[in-house]
Amino acid sequence: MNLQAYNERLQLLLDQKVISSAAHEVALQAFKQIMEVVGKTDIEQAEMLFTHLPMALTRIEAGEEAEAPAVEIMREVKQSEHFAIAEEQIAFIENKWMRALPQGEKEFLYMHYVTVLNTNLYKEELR
Amino acid sequence: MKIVIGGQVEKKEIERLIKELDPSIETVVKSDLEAAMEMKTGKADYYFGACHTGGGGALAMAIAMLGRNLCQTVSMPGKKPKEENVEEAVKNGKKAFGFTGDHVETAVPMILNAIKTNS
Repeated sequence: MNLQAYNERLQLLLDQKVISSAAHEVALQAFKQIMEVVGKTDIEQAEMLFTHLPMALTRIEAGEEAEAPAVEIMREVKQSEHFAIAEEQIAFIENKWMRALPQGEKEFLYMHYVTVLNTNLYKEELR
Repeated sequence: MKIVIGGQVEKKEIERLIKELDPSIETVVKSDLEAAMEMKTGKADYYFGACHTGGGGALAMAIAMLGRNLCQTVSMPGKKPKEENVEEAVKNGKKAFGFTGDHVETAVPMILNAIKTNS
């Protein structure tokens, strides 16, 4: 997914009031940030993370919160060599969001980020 | 009946389950956006989608294109689908259903049963 496709996706969600404008803004910045991190304009398998992200932020804004993923899944996520980059991305999101994210929501984001980073960075490393 | 499978995860598994439960149901696997469009243009009767939280990537685009009144999250992390809630949702005219990837085995037959009971 490239920035234009993501913009269209976000705009549709915003226009239909599925996500808030604050969530839209932070998600867009997070997408631009990962483009810089992986050095690509077309991010593979990004739809899940970058649809989840503004939905999660909107949910948090509404005072709702998802339970954390299973402990076994998080153990695997934390073993990824790209986990530290995932942590940096969530810190970036928290900074733009101007508040801390609930732990359960952060863990889902770590999981999604590690998947996207593994997909996009491994392929780059193999080149 | 035609079911379009969108969402983000377990798409093939959802399709396999539907076919196993009722081979007469037509299924098609699409991206979340394309699947929502199939529904919007009347090319499918129901939308099934899964993601890790049940209401994010599973249903976001369907909610945007069909409206919340046609969409229902039937399971979330730590919250299994409940038969009475699913039946109520179908009875109330919901057409798009989102659930978590780990609840696929429970959610799919439950929604299909509710649809058949209601038809």
